[in-house]
Amino acid sequence: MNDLDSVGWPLVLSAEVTVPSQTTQRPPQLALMNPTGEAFRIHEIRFTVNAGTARTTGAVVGCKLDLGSVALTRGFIPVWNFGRVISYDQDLNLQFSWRLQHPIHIPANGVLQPSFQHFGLISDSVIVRVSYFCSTLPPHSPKPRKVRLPWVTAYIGKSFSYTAADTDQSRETDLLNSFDTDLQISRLVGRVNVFSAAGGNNFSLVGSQLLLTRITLSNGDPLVRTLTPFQQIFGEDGRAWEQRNTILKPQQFFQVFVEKQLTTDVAPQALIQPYVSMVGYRELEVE
Amino acid sequence: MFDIDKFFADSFPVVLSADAELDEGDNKQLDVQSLSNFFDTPMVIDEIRTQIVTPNVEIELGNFGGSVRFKLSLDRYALSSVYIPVGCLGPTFDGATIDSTTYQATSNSPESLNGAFADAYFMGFFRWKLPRPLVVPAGMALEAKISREIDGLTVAYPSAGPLSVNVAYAGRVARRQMPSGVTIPIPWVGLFENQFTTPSVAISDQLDLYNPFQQPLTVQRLIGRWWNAYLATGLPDATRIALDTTGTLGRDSIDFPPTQVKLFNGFYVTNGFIPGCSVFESNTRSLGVNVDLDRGEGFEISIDATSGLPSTGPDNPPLGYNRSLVTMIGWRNQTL
Repeated sequence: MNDLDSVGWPLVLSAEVTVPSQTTQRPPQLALMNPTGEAFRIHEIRFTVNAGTARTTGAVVGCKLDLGSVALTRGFIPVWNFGRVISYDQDLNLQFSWRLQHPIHIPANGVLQPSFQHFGLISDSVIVRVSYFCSTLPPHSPKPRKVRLPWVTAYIGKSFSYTAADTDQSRETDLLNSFDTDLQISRLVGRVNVFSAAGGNNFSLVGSQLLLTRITLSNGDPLVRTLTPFQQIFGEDGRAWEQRNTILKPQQFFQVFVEKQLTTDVAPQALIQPYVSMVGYRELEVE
Repeated sequence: MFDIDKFFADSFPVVLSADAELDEGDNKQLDVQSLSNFFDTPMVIDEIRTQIVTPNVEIELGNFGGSVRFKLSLDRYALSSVYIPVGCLGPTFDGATIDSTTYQATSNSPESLNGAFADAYFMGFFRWKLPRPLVVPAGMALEAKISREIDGLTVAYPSAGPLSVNVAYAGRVARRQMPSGVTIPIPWVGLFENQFTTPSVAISDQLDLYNPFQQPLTVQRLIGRWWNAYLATGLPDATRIALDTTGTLGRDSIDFPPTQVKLFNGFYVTNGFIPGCSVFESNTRSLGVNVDLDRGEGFEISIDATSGLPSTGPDNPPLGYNRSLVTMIGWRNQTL
């Protein structure tokens, strides 16, 4: 028996779909299934977004993931809110990578089905490619009794005018553990979308100066007590605040307060929108 | 030895931050209350993030990681004996330059934006992931004194405003009380800085990068950065204040002269003088060492700049400067 039979062969599954503005599309399911029909594990998910000549960001399209009847996301999550950017050339492809803290076990003949929704921030269609970086399991592997499944939910803030002062806060349901089991939090991802007639951009000026943020837990624990530049919470390197030991108990939630500062800078009718997502995982017993 | 990972196993995350505005030559204390552990249980600081935003001036290239410095102390335990440049504690994430007309980033990746040349704001982000998480007992603060060197920005822009600096501590808060008399690791940073006015060889002093404590000092890494400023009176378009970039404008090279590293006991870490970018790896600018130094032991750094120095300006004498910055980052154990 080949050694790789015991540890699994690498496997990359990939599918593409064109999503017109303000529509929802699904890529072909067959392309995302293990051709041998055996069970496998997904270690990393990558999204590539291309809007042709239109400048765009990862906020333009959202992804909903379902594993059979089990949802892994609360609705459509902007594709830049799962993990880090790999490449970000506005004229070509935007690539985002979500490295899973625990691989997702896909049962035999199963599929992790993505759906993509174009939020209509630009009128151009967007071509989205999703790729799963996997490893196969040895033939006839027993079904696990317990699995760890990711859970992603997001707060999409309101669109602030570039110049005026304003505030917003997340709803209790935005970053909530809605399950009756503990949710282990891997990271909070924070991004800022700035939209003008010239297209979208996520850049640091706004996050470092114009948007200040406070974050609390539902039990009152202040995670970020004083208003702090958005950029300082969601670090420059991956736009993520990695969490090591944070557990959200059932019905606990994060609450994000955002304060947009007044500025006299002239901006070509730009709008600013904060996005904060919560990426974690929970344990499930397999029936 | 206190088991930090076990004690903080069920912690929750926290970010503390404070701001300061710094003119050239300023020296301030960041607001202690904003940076204090206001919880009734201990916390750990995992990393320190610094954000620097320049005033709205036209500047071709500006990195103030060599100019903005801090000196940290936890009660009576100092983390350094001198002010340490914020750019010499961890990797630099290239600052963003934003076109002030269209408000678009003139480059691409939001994770690492390369500066381009237009009317712009300049932002620098620096991160120090502490070699060991620093325990801050309830009610105490990691106090930060912050300063800015005379970096020369006002030579080119006499009316330039202050730098806006935000320092944030990212950490975790425990859910229980800490026993008394615990032994914890406390970071320590040494600095060797030299200004080269002529092509020459610079050698660190015995008191620059050494262990000043009774107990052993575990050194995690050395970081090396080259600070070059090209300044010209009334020629703002020619100004450059840069880390790791020399030569012509455009970030076309990263340079650090040939460097030799050895320990006080005579052990050569490098086999002679090696190009600086081979000693201090180009992305992180660091040399991992992982060595325990006894009291009085340390590193001797020699930098050979005899083959020439990057230009520092068209005036005679030039108004800019070339400085090498080498830090030694480690930790020692201390009983609270």
